[in-house]
This record gives sequence, structure tokens and C-alpha cells, in this order.
Amino acid sequence: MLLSTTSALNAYTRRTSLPVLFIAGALCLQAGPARAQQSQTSDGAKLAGGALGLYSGAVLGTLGGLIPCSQTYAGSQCVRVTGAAGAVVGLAAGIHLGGVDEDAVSNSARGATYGFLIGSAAGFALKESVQRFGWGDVVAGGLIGAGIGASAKGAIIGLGAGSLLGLALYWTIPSFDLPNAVGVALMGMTVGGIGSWVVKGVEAEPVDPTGQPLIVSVTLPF
Amino acid sequence: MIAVTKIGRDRLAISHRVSLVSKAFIVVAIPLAVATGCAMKHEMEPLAANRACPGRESAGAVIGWYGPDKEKDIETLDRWCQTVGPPAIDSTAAAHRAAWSPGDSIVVATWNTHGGAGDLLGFIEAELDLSCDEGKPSPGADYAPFVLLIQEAFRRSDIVPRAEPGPAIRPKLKEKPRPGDRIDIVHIARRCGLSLFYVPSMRNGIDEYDSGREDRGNAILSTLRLSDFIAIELPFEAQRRVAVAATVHTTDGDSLRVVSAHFDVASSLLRLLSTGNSTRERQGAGLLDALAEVELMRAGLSDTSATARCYPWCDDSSTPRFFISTLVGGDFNTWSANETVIKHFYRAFPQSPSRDGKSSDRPS
Repeated sequence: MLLSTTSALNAYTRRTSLPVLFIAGALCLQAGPARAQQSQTSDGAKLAGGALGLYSGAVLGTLGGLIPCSQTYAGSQCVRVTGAAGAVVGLAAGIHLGGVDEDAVSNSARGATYGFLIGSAAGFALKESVQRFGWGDVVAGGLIGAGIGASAKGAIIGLGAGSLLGLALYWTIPSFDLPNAVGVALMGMTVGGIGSWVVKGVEAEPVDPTGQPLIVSVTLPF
Repeated sequence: MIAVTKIGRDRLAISHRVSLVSKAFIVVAIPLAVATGCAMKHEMEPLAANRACPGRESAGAVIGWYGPDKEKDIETLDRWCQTVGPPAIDSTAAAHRAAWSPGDSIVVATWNTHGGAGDLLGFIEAELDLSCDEGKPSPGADYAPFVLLIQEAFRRSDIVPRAEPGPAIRPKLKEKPRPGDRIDIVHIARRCGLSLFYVPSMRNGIDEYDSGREDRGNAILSTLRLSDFIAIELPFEAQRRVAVAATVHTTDGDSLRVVSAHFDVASSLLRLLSTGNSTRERQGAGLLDALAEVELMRAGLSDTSATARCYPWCDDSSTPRFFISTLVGGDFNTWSANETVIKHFYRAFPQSPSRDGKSSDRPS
């Protein structure tokens, strides 16, 4: 089989080579042609990308670790580690994205703002309906929403994929509790959200427009 | 191959950067996380009986009272404590009480009765073979000494103080209607001639409930005489929780400490995020630490080293830490059968029966 275009090869490589953990995130990104992104970038964009990635990764890492970690001896300490790990990946990916695609960082910032508003509204609804919730929970809802909103597309697709997987496991494995299914859904959201930061950075990498035509021979096992 | 190698290089570059950041993370973040995590261990301490809590004042001489050592926890717990009545203790002997002889079995059951929703009287009569006719309890042929560890027991009494609405007042429990009388824990104990140790955790609604004020909390009911009463106020998460412990004895002096505990289902969204979903882990750690503290105090080792207090995080789980046999039962409110708090309790109590692995959220 011959792959004759760079974009097709790009797409094939992404589909086959990205780590499994980033599958959900990759799903949200169409395997389209690599964008010859020529956006103006600056140190400010890198800083903003890094900050957003750090924050979004920390929130998503924390959310993804909540339920799986609650089944380990380490418990909440484990959640801190997943949150920190998410922050580190988000920071690295955010700085990289800021360096290659300022627009993508702007879009993430806009998503974080929308996420904050939506999360705050959800927190306010909880405050009004559950006695023990207060204004602190409204803020917490906003903070969670901002973290998710900064990488909304990947997070939502990851959440969807994780939900389906969680439900499938719940239905097929008797010892798999419903909270575990929720945990898998949240992990999917984490993987999708953080993964999308990484994939966006990879996808936005400028490609030399004068690149040579490429013919590659690839054998696919069928 | 250009694109492949290019992407490969990108990944390597990202990996390299991640690797560098990861190293920084390992140097800075992990020690911070560990330090923070260690700070979350909750050492419990004996609480003075003269603090602003009516239950503690009146029962301080009889009850060993333990609570978290964090002032913020104590302040919140005190606000809740002021809305409930004092603990109830009834350890008078009843004629039907059989002695617990060495080698004889004892029945121990734990049940969250959800206020009056659980027919405790019916359970005692049907399952424990003790008929509880008013003032004349009579055991049947299958009667054996028993201990009941009850959660969400309620008490209706005028000694429950009037209270103003506020965050420390919880709504009434929404009980499923059932046939039969709704009898509170104190009257059940009297009617069945049982020993009682009841410590209310919180108010059962601000309003008068069937013309009486109510509080609710954990209780121990037994056909055996109870002694060595202990109340353990758990670290505050969503509601005030007070675990209760007492000791029963065989005729030759062997002792069994029984504990009734109830943990929170969930805390607030803010705490969920800031503490990493540690609600039950924190309360369980508090309970285990308090039980260890009790043992250390009893053994005169209250000034012992930090090493002895590392429980339940000590690695050597095979070393017995309890000087008397201890049985903990309760409603742990875990979200799954494998939760951290369950693991910690299994580590602390290695002789516990193994889990059946069944999920509690599926119909059996």
C-alpha cells in the first residue's frame, strides 16, 4: 500500500503510534491535513499556554485520579500525584502549543472562561439544592469548569468514550461497581483533555511548505 | 519518511522537555505532595470535658472522649454538638441477661436503621429471639448474648435542646413508612432490658417531630453489661460523626471492645477537589488513630514515641496493636468495596473475615 501524501502519512502515524492513553484525546481531533500553521507566536503565548496547560492538566489529573486512587492504600496522596502529573504534562504541552499556535491558546483561554461560567452555574445550582454546599462550592465548580473548558473538546469526547467503556465494564464484570464506571468515565475525560493538549501541539507544528513529495511503502497486516 | 521522522523528533523533543520538567517535578512536587499528605494524618487526642459541648460536660467523667487535634475541626464540631442532647448510658442489669461464658458464641450485628425506618424492635424479636413486651422482656429458646451496633439511631426527648436554624442543623431523616410504632433508642433499650450507650452526633431536624425534639447518632445495645465508654468525634467532613465504643466481658474476665461508626458519604465540592476525595479516608484514619490512642493511654504509653503512633501507617501490620480484642462495625458509606478506608481497616485488623467481593450497589 502506498501512501502518497504527507497528510495521509501524518494521519496514519497518529492513528497507529500515539500512546493508547491518548486515544480518547486523539478521537476529538480529525486526522486532517497537517496545518501549515504560521501564527504569530511570542513568549507571552508560551507563558499563557504553559499556565493554561498547567492548570487544566492539574484539574483534569485530579479529577481522573479521584476514584481510582480511592481504591489504593495511598488514597488522597495518590490523587495529588495524578494531579501533579497532569499539571506537568499540561505545562509541557501548553508551552509547546504556545510556541507554535497562538490561536489555539486563545481558544483554550476562551474555553476556560466559558467553562468557568458553566461550572459556576452548576455549583450555584448545587448550592441552592444541597444544604451543605456553599459559596466555596460555587467557586470550586467554576474552577473545575475552567480546567475542563480549557480543553473542552478532548475532555468531552474522552468523557463520552470513558462512559461507554465504564458502562460496558459495569455490565460485563459483576465485581465492577458503578462508582468504578464513573471513575473510568472521569479517567477518559482526563486522558481526552490532557491528550488533546499534546495532540494540538503536535498537529500545530509548522510544516515546511516546500517539502518534497513523499512516497512511503507501508505493509499493513490484514 | 520525512513526516514520520519529523513527528518522531517532535515527540522526542516533547518527551525531552517533559522529562526535564518531570525531573524538576520529582525534586520539588513529590516531596511537597508527600509532606502535604503526611500533614493529613490525623492524630486524635483526649478532649477536655469542660469544653463548650453539653454532652461532654455531663458525661466527661464517665466517657473517654477523643477528637481531632485540629482547632478548626473542634470549633465546627462544637457548633454541632450544642444542638444535641447529652449521651445516654444505661448499664443496669436486667433479669433476662445471660452471662457470656468463655467458649460461648456471641451475636454481633451492625445496622443503619435510618432513624425509625428500621424496625429494631421487630429485628430483636425475630432474629435475636428476645421478646420485648413492655417491661417484661423474655428470651426464647434460641436466645444468645448479643451486641447491636446501630447507626442513625434517634432519640426523642425534651433534653434535646431547642436550637435555631443554621448550618449545624440537619433536616429530618426521610424515613420510609413502615407498620408498627416508631420507638426511639432509649425506649427500645428500656423495653428490652438492654444496656445502652448512645451518643448523638447531630440534630434530627429543627422542628418538633411528633411533638418532640430529636437527635440522632451511633449507639450500642447489648444484653451484656457495657463498660469503658468511649466517644470518638471524627474529623469533620460534611456532618458531625461520633463513633462510640464500649467493652463487654466474659465471665472469666476476657474483654471485647465493640465500636459503632458511621462515615460521611461525601463532603463538599470544594473539599472533594482540595483534599482529593479523602472524606472517609480521613474519618477512618481518625477513628483508627483514636483507638490506638485509647490503647496507648490504657497502657500508660501516652508519651510514647512517634514510631509507636505511626499506626495505621506502620508497615509491620502483623504486630498486634490492640491490647484487647476489638470489633469495629458500622456504615462506612464507601463508594466501592475496595476503598482506601477499607484497606486501612483490613491492615489494622488483619484477622477480619475476608470480603465477599460483592458490590453493594447491585441488586443481589
